[in-house]
Amino acid sequence: MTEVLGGVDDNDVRLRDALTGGCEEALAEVYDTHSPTVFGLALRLTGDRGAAEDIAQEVFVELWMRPERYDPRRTRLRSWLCMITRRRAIDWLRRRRTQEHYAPVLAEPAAAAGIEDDVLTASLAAQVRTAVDELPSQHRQAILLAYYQGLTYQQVARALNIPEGTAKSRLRSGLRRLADALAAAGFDDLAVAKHTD
Amino acid sequence: MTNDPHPEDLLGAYAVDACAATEVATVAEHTADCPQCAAEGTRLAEAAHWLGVLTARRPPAALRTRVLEAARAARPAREPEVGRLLDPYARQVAAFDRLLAGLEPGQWRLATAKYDNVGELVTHLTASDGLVADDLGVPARSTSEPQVRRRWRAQADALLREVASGGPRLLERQVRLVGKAPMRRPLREALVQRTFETWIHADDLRTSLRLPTEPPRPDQLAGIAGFALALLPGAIDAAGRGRAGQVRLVLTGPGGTEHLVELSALGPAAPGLPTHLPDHGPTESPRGAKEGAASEASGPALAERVPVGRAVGDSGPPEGAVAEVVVPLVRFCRLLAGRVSVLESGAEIRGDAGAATDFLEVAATLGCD
Repeated sequence: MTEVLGGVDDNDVRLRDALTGGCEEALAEVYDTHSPTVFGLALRLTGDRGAAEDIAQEVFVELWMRPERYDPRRTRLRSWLCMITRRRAIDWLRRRRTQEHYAPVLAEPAAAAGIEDDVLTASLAAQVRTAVDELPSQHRQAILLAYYQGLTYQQVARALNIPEGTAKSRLRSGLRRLADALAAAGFDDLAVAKHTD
Repeated sequence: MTNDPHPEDLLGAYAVDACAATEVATVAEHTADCPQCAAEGTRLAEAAHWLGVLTARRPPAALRTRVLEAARAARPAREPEVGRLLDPYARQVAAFDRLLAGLEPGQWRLATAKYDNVGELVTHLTASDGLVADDLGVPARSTSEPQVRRRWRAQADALLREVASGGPRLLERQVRLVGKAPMRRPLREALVQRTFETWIHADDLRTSLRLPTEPPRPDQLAGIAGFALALLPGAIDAAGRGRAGQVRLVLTGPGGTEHLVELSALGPAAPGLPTHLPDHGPTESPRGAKEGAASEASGPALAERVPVGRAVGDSGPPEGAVAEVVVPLVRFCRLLAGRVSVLESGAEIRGDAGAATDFLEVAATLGCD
């Protein structure tokens, strides 16, 4: 298997084990740490506060119900929560899109709001923002469309009027550049890959 | 390594769930066998999900209560009493898993304690845990898992989950213990045994890896000793060595307690119950300071320094007991596991040496191998 890059986060392991053992304080701790990210991402994807609250609830309850699905050896908890949040939000969007005509809007994400007092998240966000801003604009556009609008690479290709192969390669090269930039900025989960079998 | 071509062009889209379903299946199948593509996929996804912090926004305050209530309704939080029994076991499971996760392939072949290799040790522990898991009706999902470590861990996690959700009444459910004679005892005792066995095997592995041993917290060691002492009079009878009378057992070092233990289950007093804490406080005790957990790494060599089975002083047996046995708590627990012999335990004996020896020799058979 592939271990999470840069080693396993002991705190994520502790939380996952405590959740498995039914420790409610651990869920409260995960919520307090990660709910701005989960709620904000759901809100960005759906544009609907009610839906974002519902999705945040589903995400944390799912973690509580089945903590063993989260493997701290494979990914960081924050990253895993973002993945689940996006999947839920994209499901919500797809249900909506079958009812309404939907045109993807190419928009930069609004700056994080209301988390100024969350020093850690605010400082991480500033570093990620810098890394994203430094991406070539073609790569940035493709990534932001896929990530925040939940588009497939085929939809990204149509939105940007580029061949599908180009969309795939911009996603890959753009994410590689982003990973390299964040690793250079000291994000240890993106340090050089380590393989184990 | 897979023979399929590497689906490198899809890895970026795959990392952000932007592939078609058939492509997702292709990449997932490939990365299961290709560490190189798996590592890249993981790295790209980790990078992508940092985008999630850019849009962080504090949720309405009421959402916190709503989420915690919905969680509680979906899966009950454990009761504090359950947590007290579960946490020591969970801690040993996590510690053993961390050791296993760090093994190089060659280290899996190390002979460990009484097992030819680490895989056999883990398989043995899985079978022991399985007695309790089966009796609780924990689904045996893990049997299809080919990897011994994951099979053990999945079952341990399922067991932890089941107990956590069960509430205090579940702790009284009769389940099978591991041991020479088949025995059913309440789950609360079986959890102490699971903590005990998991710790002992983790220390077995540490010893094979030439790492220092790591005993559980003193209060948890005391729980292990109390669990075993309750079984001991019956075990002494089963070994054909039962007799009237009691042994006063003084367990020294942090967590140390005194016990009056019947030498037969037919004896009048309730066995295994601490009579009182030692007069010398556990941490201030000179014996505790000298022979407590801190000196445990010296292991068997200690037998050379402390005369074994030594009659201490000329005084007769202590009041109310035919013999007195004084031994550090952590070493008594290792004796119970069969990891140190009576000789190596450094136990000091006063009074009836034969009774004390029977007591210790039968205690040394209460392990889980």
